[in-house]
Amino acid sequence: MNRIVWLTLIVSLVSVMSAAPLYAEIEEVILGVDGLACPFCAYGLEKKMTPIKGMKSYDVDMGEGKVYLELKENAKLDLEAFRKAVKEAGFTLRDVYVRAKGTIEKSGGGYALVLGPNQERLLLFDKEAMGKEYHQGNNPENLVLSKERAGQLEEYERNKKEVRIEGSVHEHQGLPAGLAVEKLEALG
Amino acid sequence: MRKRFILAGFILAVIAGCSTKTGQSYHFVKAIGQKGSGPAEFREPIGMAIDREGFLYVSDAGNHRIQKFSKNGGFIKAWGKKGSAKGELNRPMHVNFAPDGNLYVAEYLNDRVQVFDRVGNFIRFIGLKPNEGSYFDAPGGAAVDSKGFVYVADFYHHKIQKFDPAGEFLTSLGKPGRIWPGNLHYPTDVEISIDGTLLVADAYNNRIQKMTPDGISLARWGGLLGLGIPGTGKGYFKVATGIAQDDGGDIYVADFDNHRVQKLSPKGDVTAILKGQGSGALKYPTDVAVDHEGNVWIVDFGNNRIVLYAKDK
Repeated sequence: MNRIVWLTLIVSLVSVMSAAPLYAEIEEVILGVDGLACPFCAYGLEKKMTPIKGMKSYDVDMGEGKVYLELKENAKLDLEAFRKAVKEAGFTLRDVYVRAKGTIEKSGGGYALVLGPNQERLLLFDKEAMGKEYHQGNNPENLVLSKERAGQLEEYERNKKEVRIEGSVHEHQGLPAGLAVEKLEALG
Repeated sequence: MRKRFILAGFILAVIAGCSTKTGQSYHFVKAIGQKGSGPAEFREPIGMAIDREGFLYVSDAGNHRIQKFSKNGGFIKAWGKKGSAKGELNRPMHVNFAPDGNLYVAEYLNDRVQVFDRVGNFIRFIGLKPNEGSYFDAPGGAAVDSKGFVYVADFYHHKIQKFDPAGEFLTSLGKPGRIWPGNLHYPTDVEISIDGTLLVADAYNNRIQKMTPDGISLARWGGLLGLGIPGTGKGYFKVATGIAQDDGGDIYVADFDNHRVQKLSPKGDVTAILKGQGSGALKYPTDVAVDHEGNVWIVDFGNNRIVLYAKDK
């Protein structure tokens, strides 16, 4: 009897440890920043960004005006902190591109990538599906998925599949951010 | 009639600025380095200084180290790694020798100036407050005058910070602003002129300012009337990031966004423009150093190398 109990406990523990994570892991964030004209500028931005909570590494491509951030495990995707740091350094945040790993959940009429324990989420949509209707000021609840994408997400959500997803972040004041999906693949 | 003369004078001044003809010419001799982190490789080199014996010292900001070369560009040694302990560096920017022969390295992300001897031994820090914090917000370059006073170009404070020979803070020179004498806008470098005045790379005012050791602006060079209007013509700059002076008093300015170095007389007249072509073409130069034979070394930031130019005979 004792042996069965122990075995059950071990199997349960292994199952829990190997289950898909509850929250997305942000693998990389790429910021598009206008005005990174010289090393003094680029290092100035580095100075403002490295103290942000959860920052693991920072790299910059001055020619392309891109900043590559690696976040620590379970770090929050703090768009507000990024925007503030970029502004304090004297630049303009043009866009945010994210690569993350996690599971999909239903959200309202669509799907979202859940980012953290406080239920921060990125609502998923297709820019192409919206065509001319898309702009940065769109209410995220009006963002649209293509039929094909919706089918993919529905399947991944139903099977609790872990996915890797990439895309550019779309923000709307006071509402959850959206992610215009550019790449989506199931893992495992 | 008077208005026509004034207008004609203005137009002539603008046309003069558009010209690039000068008296002296230079030719490209060689380049040292490529992108990387090995010996004689660079990742974002920023500043350069030459000691009394002709050895070259280059701040390799992306690799957080200083590299030392012979007068011909042969690699000798490197020191430093990323960090904040003594001997460690975080984004070393402009470098400069003091009259006592020690090397002053402005560390942009450590908010301090670190002083080394010529073989890389730690001497002291400048700019750290007694209890905590720093006088600087991103120091770009430091210089030491004949009396031992230390001047530091403080990028985000838009000032030159002055310290006594013991390293005690004295005062700030200049103030944030555009156009007017004494105003600085993201200064990146400071040099001591042979006449004891300061030469400040007032980078984002697109000009050089000559100041007394007490901060009085004596002259401004860059664009029309030294107002710092950016441009591509002779005497105009687009982000003046680094300064050097030769033994005769001529001034060399790294004209970053114009991909060239401009040589000025002690009175501020442009006498040469160095930009190169083909494999010698400059790409975002950040600093200049002149050896005792008048050869011009340039930190070619955009190409991750240092290049040598010599005067045409």
